[in-house]
Amino acid sequence: MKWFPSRKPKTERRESELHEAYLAAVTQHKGIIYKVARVYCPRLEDREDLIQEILIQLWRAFERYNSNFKLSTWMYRIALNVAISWYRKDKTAKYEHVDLNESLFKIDDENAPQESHDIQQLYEFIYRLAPLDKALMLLYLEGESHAAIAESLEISKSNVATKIGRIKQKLKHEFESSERVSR
Amino acid sequence: MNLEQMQSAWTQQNQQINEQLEINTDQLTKQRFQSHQNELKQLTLARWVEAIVFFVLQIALWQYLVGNWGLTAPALSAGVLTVFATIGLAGTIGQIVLLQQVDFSAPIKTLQQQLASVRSHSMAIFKLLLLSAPFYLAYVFLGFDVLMGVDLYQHLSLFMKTFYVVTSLLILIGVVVFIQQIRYSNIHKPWVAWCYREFGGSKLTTLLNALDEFERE
Repeated sequence: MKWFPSRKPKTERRESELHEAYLAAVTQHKGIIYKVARVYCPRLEDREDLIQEILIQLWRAFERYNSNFKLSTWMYRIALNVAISWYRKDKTAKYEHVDLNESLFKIDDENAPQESHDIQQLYEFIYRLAPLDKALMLLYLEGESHAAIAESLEISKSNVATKIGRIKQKLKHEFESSERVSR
Repeated sequence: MNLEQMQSAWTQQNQQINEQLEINTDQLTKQRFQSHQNELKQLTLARWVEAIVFFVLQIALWQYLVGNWGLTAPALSAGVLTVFATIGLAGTIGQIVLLQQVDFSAPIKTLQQQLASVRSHSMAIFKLLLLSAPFYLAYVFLGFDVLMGVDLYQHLSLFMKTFYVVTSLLILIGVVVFIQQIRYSNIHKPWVAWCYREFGGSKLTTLLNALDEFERE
């Protein structure tokens, strides 16, 4: 597999090859890190730390990557694990609709179209879910199958279906009430 | 907007993100993360310090036991304290092993459970200290012998001996009942929630809450 140089004792060269592969993987799937950080971290100033922690854990686990998993699924799992265990004292923080512009990630502001209202609402809705439900929802939105979600979360497929059903209900209720308010 | 519409909006933004988001690879290369002191590393270091303290305590207690072997109150006290120090050392080594096994690519529930075990260490130490409370006389007897060379037990009247035995038994019953109550299923009781917050830390409570919330549905 092109991402992963063959397994050899960790020499400087091997380390450097591994780092190159890591950079390529992170660059290709940067969106995963961005979305997870955005959903779990409402405050911009904390988000940089969370992104950094995700990148560290990805680097640490990179050598042990199991190619039975899709790279994106594997990265999602690590990012979610880090984000769920990411601890913030201030649980009452409000969701900030500010684009990420930290030192590790930059948004191309020149051509950046405005985020649609639906997407903003979507982020807000996911943010209000319980930590593990957020993970389930993100994986669902990424188009992962119920079986893959069940494997990532370590719950049964039927449990995944039940939880998605409940979130659907909740979502319907949230959108209906937000429409009522806007009218 | 329903869930299916949400999914299509999400897919659309994926492309946007990939086009607009730039990753600062220079910064990433600079960091290399090797020297980064993250929280798990700090925890591992703290556990090693703890293990060394327990180990030194063990050595000192064994040294005392070997030098004062016999059926005396101070020797028995040292024996009792050695048992607690051994449990403490074993628990701390277990934590170091657990910390080495923490794998962020593991299934989400497994990792969260692992982290909850890691976080519950201070609660376990608190329970161990509580369990040693009924044996408070062990500290007194050993202390008197080490510091003053006096076997206090020999100088106690029968009344005082009986009093201390009864007190220790009552404390033991109280402590066992108390410890049995301190478990997550009793978190709705304000005093149990307080113990979890104060001795387990808010990180443990947050993790256990998240797992419980997820499993309850």
